[in-house]
Amino acid sequence: MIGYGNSVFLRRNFEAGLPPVNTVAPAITGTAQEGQILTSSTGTWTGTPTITFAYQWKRNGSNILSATNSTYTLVTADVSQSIKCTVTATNGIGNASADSNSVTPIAAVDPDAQAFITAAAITDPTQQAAINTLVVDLKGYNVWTKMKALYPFVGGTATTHKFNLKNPLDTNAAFRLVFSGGWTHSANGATPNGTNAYADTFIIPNTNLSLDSTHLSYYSRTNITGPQVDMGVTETSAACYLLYNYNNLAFKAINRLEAAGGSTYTPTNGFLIGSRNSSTTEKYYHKGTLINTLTIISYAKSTYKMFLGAYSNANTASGYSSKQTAFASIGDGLSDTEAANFYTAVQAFQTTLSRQI
Amino acid sequence: MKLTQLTIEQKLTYVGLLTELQKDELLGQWYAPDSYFNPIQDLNNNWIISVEEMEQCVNPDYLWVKDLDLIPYEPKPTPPPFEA
Repeated sequence: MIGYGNSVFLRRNFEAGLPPVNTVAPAITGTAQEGQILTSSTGTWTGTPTITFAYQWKRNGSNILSATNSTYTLVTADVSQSIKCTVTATNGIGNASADSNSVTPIAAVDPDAQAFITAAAITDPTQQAAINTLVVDLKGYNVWTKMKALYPFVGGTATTHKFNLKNPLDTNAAFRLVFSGGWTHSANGATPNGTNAYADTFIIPNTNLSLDSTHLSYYSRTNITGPQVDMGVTETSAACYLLYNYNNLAFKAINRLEAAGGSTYTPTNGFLIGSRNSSTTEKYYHKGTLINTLTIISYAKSTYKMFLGAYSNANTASGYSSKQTAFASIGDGLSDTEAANFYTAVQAFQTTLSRQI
Repeated sequence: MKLTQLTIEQKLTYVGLLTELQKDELLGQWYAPDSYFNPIQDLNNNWIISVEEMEQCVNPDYLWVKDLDLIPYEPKPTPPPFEA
């Protein structure tokens, strides 16, 4: 008995020490975004060595199943939720827990949006978020695949405005814009001077567009009733592709030989879409609303490049515009529903950037 | 009149006057990143560039455009595209 008592006494003396006590809370590092990896530090602890650590990641205070390592990969369920890590320190004396700071992850950036953001070097978080939402919305509305070129005009310089969101490479083949003449670039868009400014899209209808399925769109922030062309191409013996206004009339043509008159609408700013979905019908939408249905047959596609801020008359610019543009697109024809959804997505994009009309 | 003498209002109505030789020299050349000169002819067939191109020019080879003489812009009539 004596020996047993001594043994207990000695063991207690040997084990006497301090349990873990947290002095600096664990901290989360990493990008709080869906798909990214977060890492939790142990924090700083006092107590008798050796201290071991266990981790439990939590979403809104509840344990996340199997999330018990120092790192954690954020999933969709974590978006906009409160994420933290509880670190439990244990030594021979006891254990204690401490919570890390909390983070609120954002949704992952769409790969197509990220490609544009990287290419155009867009650093402003609001502009990045607007681009991402635009891409996600267009995909959600199933119109993304109908786009040949999308020009969102973000970033405020010619170097950021030139990129095609659908194919953000700095090459003619990717249909990035090349600006000529007097342009003014700002956060609100690109403004041609109405004297000699135009932008070459490098899109040639005969090569790049479908005969009976084509759309053009142009988001103008300026209301001008003079003879100015938003975008297009003409050719003597081939079809016209045009969005323009002349003497208070809004003339449009999507792949037809000639204009059969204009349709009056005021104002001329806002989002205009011209779309051909068949060999016999063209439709025009202003701010998402159908304003014209014309029965006009399609014609041989133009073999010249399409311009913005003017029209291409066999690759020579004419009809110079001074309308500030904040968006333009070229692609396949859109249905009524698709045109309305397209407007909704683009208008939301402009609203995020505080430049909506 | 020179660029530095223009009022804000005059910037909207004046253009830089080019010689034929200067026009040829500017064709296909950039005046600012991703922006290219576009000489055009006015109503009197003068070759001109815009005040924007003159003001924004940072290409060291063409800074002389900032010293071009300015003239009031007289545009050629713009026909509707279908009559072009």
